Amino acid sequence: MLTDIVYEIKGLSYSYLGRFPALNKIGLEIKKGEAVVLLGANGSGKSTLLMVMAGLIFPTEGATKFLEKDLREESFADAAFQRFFRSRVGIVFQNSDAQLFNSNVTDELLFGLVQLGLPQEEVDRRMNKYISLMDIGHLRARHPQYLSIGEKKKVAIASVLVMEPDVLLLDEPTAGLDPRTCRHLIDSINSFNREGRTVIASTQDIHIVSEISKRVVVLGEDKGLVRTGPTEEIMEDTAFLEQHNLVHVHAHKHKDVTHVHPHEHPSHDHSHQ
Amino acid sequence: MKRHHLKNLFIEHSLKNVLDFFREAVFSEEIARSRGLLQLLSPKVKIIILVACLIMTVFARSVGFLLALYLVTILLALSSGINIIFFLKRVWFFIPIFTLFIAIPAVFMEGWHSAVLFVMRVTTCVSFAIVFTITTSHDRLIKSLRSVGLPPVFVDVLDMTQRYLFLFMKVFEEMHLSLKSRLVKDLGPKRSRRWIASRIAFLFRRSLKMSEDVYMAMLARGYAAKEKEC
Repeated sequence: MLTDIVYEIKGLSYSYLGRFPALNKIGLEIKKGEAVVLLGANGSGKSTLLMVMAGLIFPTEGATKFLEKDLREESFADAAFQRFFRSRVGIVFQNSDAQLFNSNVTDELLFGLVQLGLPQEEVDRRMNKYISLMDIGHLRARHPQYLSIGEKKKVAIASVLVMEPDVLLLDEPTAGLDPRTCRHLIDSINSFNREGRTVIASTQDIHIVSEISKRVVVLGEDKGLVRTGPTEEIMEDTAFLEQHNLVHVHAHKHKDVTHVHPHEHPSHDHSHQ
Repeated sequence: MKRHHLKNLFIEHSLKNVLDFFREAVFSEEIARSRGLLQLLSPKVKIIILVACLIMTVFARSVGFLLALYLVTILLALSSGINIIFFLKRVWFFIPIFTLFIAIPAVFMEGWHSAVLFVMRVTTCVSFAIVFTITTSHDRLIKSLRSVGLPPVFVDVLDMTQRYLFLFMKVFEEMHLSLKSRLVKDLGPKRSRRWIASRIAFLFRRSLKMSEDVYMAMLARGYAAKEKEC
């Protein structure tokens, strides 16, 4: 790679059917190897931004560059560019049912590998590695319709990881998962990032932000970029998070003391004032 | 009021029966896993025999010969461990769909003989198709269709149709249960019909959105129009 900047986004706007704005003048740079979380309330445009980054939809205004190359609809007419881009960028959709379109788990993982045209030895190596990483060996022959939500998510992530993209985009990766599956996914995402690959995930799950990112990009309810900065700094600014509908105040009781927290579910050893 | 309630129960039971029947008829792999004559054959051989049987049926000109072929399908079903009632129900479930709009005008325009010939042909073709596919697991069937040289796009679409049909049936069932859980009195036939129509429209819109998402998921993993075989 000649540059350290993976994505360079300038003045990006997108609207559905030309009428319903989904992104409003976003400017953003993402560097190689970064772990970034896109944070925002419902309808703030996180998923749309990921779709643009995945080269699946194209901005109405502004420009997106991937490794200094323009991401435009016309660019994908060039087979060489398509291969260059699709082998480097993988996306895990929020809805696993949209992603699992093959008749069994093995075929699902093979789909991307076959598109890449890899030699059989490499196919076998990757299949073994990611089946073991995601712990889905027992599901190999299973049809997607007989998988649980957590299993579907694991298979969907494995089907993308197996292509070993340089950039992994994840749309709400932990939504609806039980704690153990959630933990497993976080560990897998982190191990992928430790290999020097870029991870960009959208989430509303405040609990996982610090675990999977070093930087947070906050999208506001006006669909524009509100703030970007180190994860720690943003996650400690509870007033800011509350203002942008990212945390809620809740009350709970310890023995006889009822009190409110401007955050979600703190640990049980916190002190009472 | 009681009549309305009974009518609603009838709609509910019919819906459940159709969904259950469809689930068992299209998605169950129990028969494919059991022991029997057709289960012993390789899927590739079965596809070749099936195509030959279909050609023979389509070109048959006598009702007697078609009846003989139909009996063959029943014998094949029996020797492959298929419950004969289930088999007949499954075949005759599809017959009206394929024949109703063609056979009735044919009675008036070309006479009974043509109409009977047509219905017999369709029945025998459907019976052959069902007896051969029901004894083959979906996975092996798809792989064999690929190996006999059918265009990959065609096979993929077939494969995905089965996958998403199941998903949308589940969605429909959940919508029905959600309605049921909030009903404190009968909907009445008019509102029931309106509800079913609105859900059909909803599923249609949802299937369009899903097809766009699936296509995007395929593109994101390097799918190009000239697909390579999986």
